[in-house]
Amino acid sequence: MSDHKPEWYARLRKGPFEKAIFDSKMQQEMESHTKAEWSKSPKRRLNPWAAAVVAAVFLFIAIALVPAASQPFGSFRQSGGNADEPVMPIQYVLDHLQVGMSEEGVKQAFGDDFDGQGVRRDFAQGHKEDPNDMSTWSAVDTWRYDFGVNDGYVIAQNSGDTDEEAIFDLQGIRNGKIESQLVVYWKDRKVERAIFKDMDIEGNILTTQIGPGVEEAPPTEPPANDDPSGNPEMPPPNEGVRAVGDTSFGLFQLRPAKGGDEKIQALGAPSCLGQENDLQYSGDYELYFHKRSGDETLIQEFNQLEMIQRENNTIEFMKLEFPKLELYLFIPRYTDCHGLEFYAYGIDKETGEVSNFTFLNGEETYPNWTTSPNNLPQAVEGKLVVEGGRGAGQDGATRYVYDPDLATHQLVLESKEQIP
Amino acid sequence: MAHDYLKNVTSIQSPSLNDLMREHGQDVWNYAFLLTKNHHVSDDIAQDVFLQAFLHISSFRGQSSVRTWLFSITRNIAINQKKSAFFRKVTLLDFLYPAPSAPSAEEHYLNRTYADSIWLLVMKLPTKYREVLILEAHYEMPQTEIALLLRISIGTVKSRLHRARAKMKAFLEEVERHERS
Repeated sequence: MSDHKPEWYARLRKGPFEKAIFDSKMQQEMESHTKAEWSKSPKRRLNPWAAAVVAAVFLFIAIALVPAASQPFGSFRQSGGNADEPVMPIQYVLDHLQVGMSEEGVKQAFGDDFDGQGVRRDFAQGHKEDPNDMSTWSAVDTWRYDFGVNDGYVIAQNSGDTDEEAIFDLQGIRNGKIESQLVVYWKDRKVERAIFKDMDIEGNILTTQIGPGVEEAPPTEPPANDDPSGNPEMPPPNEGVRAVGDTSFGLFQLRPAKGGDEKIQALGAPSCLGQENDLQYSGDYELYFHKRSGDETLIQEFNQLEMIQRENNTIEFMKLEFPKLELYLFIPRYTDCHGLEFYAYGIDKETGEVSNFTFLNGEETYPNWTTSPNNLPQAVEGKLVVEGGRGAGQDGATRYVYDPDLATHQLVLESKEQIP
Repeated sequence: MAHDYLKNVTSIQSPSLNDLMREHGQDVWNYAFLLTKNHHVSDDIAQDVFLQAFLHISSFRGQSSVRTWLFSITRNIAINQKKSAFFRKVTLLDFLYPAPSAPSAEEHYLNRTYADSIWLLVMKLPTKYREVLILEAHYEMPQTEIALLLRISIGTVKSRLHRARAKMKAFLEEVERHERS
């Protein structure tokens, strides 16, 4: 395409609107909202006294670790005695690892306790390697270092896929078996790039990249056609159980529909829908109830259901107790910008009959309803109380009170009120 | 690079957040609007973008410009909002089932307040063409940065730009014909 830009480009420099929409008033509103959200966050800043105490503790730890830091780095594999201080601080990695370093240099800095892997691929003649895309490289050699490893941890073997993520054991980092991992990529026996992954206090995997052609990818949505099969932190699609509800009479199990086309992908970036490493599942699913006797009944089929969960966790149904009924709520997402969709299933305490409960609002019947992500539904005096979600441009929300009807398997709207 | 220091901080202090909002607030809001075509949703997205920037500044490593980083968060939130069932029910119903008296009051108002009538034509483009066009023509973003932001190859950026320009050319010719007649 010619780089000559059309004349009408100049008309697009200004705008799209005559006046600024994001004015000082909006900025102030957002600032106060952001501060309010920040104050809810567990990552609050410390007051000066607490900060001084923390600084003193870190100083003490740093002094205690100086002798250890000068020792060969084979000892990094073992988790240290102090659980608060990282065994491998990111600053050490940034200070001691550069592109072009030799194998000896890396061993000097990080020790020789690494797991080396090499993959060779045959491509058709004329194939060109893209320095930014490892799947196009005909040879990939890596060294993987595991830091802060718990006793008994064995390096997880990946499926042979040399994709950047597959070589990491993100699950191991998340569940605390390893504190952090460093993968060094080699070209002609020199460091070509390196990726370091650890976890922050909120459980998010942090990625630090060193080297050319590894600009941090912006947190946009992951490619739609990603095949997660080789990625160790993603479950294989179309098998397994995605949600469970453990009841007095048996077990609810949500499974991918047979012959379905389930897609699993990471969200790719933090947003109000979840963290970047949260997994999004989509496809057709079937909900079964597995009785203690061993019988299994199909309760509901879902077409093109979407779920988002932290890490690779199975969703657990939420249990609510009613006088004659055990009610189980299936909430496919754990958080949302506005409201969470949920489905309800009841078990008659007398007969053990399991059924899908729908929502009757006046004359309309709905298969599911929406709740505020912050205030989940509650059982109050035999009624289901649901605070609805809040949408853009809406003032307040609506609180709904439903009366469970065992005979018709419905949650009948009894009343609703506007709340601020 | 402006705000280079941000790559070394783990949370944004209030004055920095103010700076970010002052410098990029309108750009972020505009980008959200150009993606969603909805005033209220853009308010919501811009607010969420700065909240996320505030909470996740530690993930900014300085390899891209601050604006590109904020745009990538904007884009992600906009895309995720479209996926949100609640958003579909509450907000998109208006788009899916417009009132017979269309266009809406908001549309009328916004149509009147566009800085240039050419924006009316840009908003008619399919999202994927509109996006690359405004990133290049309005935000003057290099194609390599657009590719990085949209996670597509430079070749795809070029081909989308080519199609976007061709469609715009056709729209502009149609307007010209209409004005002559």
